[in-house]
Amino acid sequence: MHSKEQVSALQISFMVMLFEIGSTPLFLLGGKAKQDSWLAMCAGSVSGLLLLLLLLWIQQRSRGLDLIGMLRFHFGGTAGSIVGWIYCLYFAYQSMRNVRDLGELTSLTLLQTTPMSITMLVFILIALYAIWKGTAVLFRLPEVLLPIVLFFYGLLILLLGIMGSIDFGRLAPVFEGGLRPILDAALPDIVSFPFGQMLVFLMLWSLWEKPGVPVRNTISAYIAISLFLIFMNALNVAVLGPTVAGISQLPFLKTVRTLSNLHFVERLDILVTIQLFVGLLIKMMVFYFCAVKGISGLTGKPMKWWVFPVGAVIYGASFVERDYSQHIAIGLGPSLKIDPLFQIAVPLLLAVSILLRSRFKSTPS
Amino acid sequence: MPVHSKQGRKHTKDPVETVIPAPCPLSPSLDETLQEISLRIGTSSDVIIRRFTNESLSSLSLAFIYIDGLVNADTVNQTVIQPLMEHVTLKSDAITADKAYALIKDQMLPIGGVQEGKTVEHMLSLLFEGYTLILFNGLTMALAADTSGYEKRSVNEPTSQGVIRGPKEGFTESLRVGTSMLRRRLKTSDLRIEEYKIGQRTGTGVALVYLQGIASEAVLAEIRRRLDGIITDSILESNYIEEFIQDGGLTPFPTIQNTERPDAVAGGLLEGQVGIIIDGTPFALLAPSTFFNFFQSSEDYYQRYDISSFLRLIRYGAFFVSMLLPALYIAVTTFHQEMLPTTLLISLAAQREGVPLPALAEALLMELTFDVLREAGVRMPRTIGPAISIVGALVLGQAAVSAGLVSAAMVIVVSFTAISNFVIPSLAIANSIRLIRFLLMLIAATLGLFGIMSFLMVLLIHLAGLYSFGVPYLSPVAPMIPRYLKDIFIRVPLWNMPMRPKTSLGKETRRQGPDQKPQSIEDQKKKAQLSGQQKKPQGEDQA
Repeated sequence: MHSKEQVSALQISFMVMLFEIGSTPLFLLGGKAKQDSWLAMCAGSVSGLLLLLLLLWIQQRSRGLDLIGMLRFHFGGTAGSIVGWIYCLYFAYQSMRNVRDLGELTSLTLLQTTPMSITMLVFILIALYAIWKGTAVLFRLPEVLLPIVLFFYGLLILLLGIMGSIDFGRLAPVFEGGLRPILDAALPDIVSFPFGQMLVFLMLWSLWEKPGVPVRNTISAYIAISLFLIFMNALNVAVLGPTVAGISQLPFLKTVRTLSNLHFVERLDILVTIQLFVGLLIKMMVFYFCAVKGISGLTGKPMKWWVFPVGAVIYGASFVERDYSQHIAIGLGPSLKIDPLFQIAVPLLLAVSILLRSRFKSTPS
Repeated sequence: MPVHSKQGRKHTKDPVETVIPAPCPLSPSLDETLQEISLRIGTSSDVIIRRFTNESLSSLSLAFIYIDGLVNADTVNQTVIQPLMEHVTLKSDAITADKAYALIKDQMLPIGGVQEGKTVEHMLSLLFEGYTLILFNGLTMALAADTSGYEKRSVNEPTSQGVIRGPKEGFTESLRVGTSMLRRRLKTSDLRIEEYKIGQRTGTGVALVYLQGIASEAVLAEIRRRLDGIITDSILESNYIEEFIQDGGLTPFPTIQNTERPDAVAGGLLEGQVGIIIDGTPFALLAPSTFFNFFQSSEDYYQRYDISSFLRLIRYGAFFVSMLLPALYIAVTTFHQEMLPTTLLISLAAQREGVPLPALAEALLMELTFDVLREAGVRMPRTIGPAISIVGALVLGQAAVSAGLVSAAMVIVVSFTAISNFVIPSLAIANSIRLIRFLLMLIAATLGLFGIMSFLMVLLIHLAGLYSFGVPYLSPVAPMIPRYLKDIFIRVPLWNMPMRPKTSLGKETRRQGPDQKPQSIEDQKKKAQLSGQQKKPQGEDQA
């Protein structure tokens, strides 16, 4: 009765929002721009929007295909499959990064003594269960989780406001170093994370219950969540000041800890941890799902075939990095370097191919 | 015992005989028929067989059969036996069995329900429903007159779902009383009642109740299919039906509601649900049911909407408290002490100073004790009640703490958990989290808050994947249908809910006219003025 796994436009909006929130508000992105980091976020989100428009255009031109299908269509069977496999690896890799993030953060804040292998295993198993249950179930999760996450963020912001810790004066002077440092911070780092990660929706848009692409929903969700992320970035700086915010590992955690003089609950870390947990989980689930979906598209086997193997690979890969500093170093170094390749270069190639094809098609006729 | 070959076993693979033997037609000889019947039902003392012959003994011989206790004796005597015995025509010699049959059937039985039958099986099934059978010598047809009347409980206040304001009557064990209560509430030709007989030994009457046009045809077809598919010995209570027809898959959560309240069933029918009333139990079923249905009480609609909304939010809160509180207590005291304010932490630590058990053991012990007391409270004879409650209160509260077995904080946690559990209007869902609570406590003791969050996530995924007759269990939240959210977490005023708030609906989705918001006299005047101005700008004198 419910075998058709299709997704409504609203569900896609919710997924966009929760996916983009992920763990982003916890970090101070664009910290290099100091108090102008929120401007860097603006620049990043605007560039991300341009990229998103490109992706939407590509999806619009290839009805009903997901990224793997597009690659195979435009680059030919063999080359397309190879690039497709690389993409699946990339998704699995991104998923692994989130798993490791959560493992590290859990051992940092919640369970100091429990081995990371257990928390990460639990984490993977949750995602595995959701993906095993299928697309429809996966896309229902944000509908419950996003309101909860936003509620908690709202609560924290409200408390911060009541306590008078927010001082937007700390954001001055605006444009201290001119435009240059802002753009330096924004490009390509902020574009790659989180805005460029909208790339995964090339795998997801084709699940929409109607033909075509939910353009309006995606873009409005993207803009709304960009504004939220920019605000959260500014909030971190407004509470902590650019220097403290810039150097701390998890500035938002620090921001929330300023609330400890509430004398009600000594530390509201738990709320932050819930945000983190939900955000990382959804992000990790989506990447995991994309990897599974991609491989099932490449091999022609049903998705349930690949849920366990891919999960095992992600779990195994999450042990490869030696420690947290190496994890961070890879994340900020090589990882950021290859992101544009996947997020921008290949989509551009696809776009070029679409343009050429449409030209060739139109000239003979 | 003879050794059965494997082949022989394969032929009779069902333990319950699904093969119905060919029906046995009524014999023209009355003696043979009576013999067949007494062979079938044995010599039960409550079966009354009464022969009747006319004076010459030649042309007409009849027999009445009824079951004492299932029939109303007055009805049988006055409307069946007496008219037949006193009727002049029947006493005459000239009458034949054919004529007597037609005469009795058409003219002599002052009773609404008269049925004809040709087989022994049919007649017996009518007999067990309280009909009086009239058998004729020389005919292969028989009559059955509805004389049923058995002792039944009178209509009482529902004991499991009380309200302060609202109707106080509940269903009884009688199916007919149940359907009549619905008829009285829904005086519309759209109310349909389909009756099933389920259970080969119990032959329980099961009524499928729905509103034509409001209930979804797809759901109805599915429920009918599942009801038809039940092959079992017995249906003694609505849970038998529930377990046979609910959606597959292991889950601790109920996907079918049960209620004792006719107004709740009527409300459900009006929102597109389908009711199932079962003879022999006052608990009716409502399907399909979503997670949020279990938090709606019929009283929500009998009170002001603001207080109803508040109470509903409290119920959701209580649901989470009842599920999570002991687990959170364990997690916080074991893993995350730093989360507590220092003064509270010191006081807690001081309390736990003398307690010999770790938090998990303490919590498990107290929760189990409470569950024992609760079960005792349900089973014990009424007269012993006060003794148990005194012992329970003392054992659970005062004595355990002063003996140093448990900490006072733990007693508070357990009591509050228990009280919260009773806030949830549906016992079905309250019970499902009683079990989950224990699981959560174990997880909290091993993985702390991380474990609790993980488990909640798993629970959410599980719930998101559940269906009740094809309706997603978490709808209208996931998948979200924003306009149906008016009656989920809060209840908006009735006039603001023009559409039926269900995802499984037939054609008629609107339930009230537009602009039902009550208007004050001032509002009406203003509106009249406005429309007057718009319509006729030249103005009317009396305005």
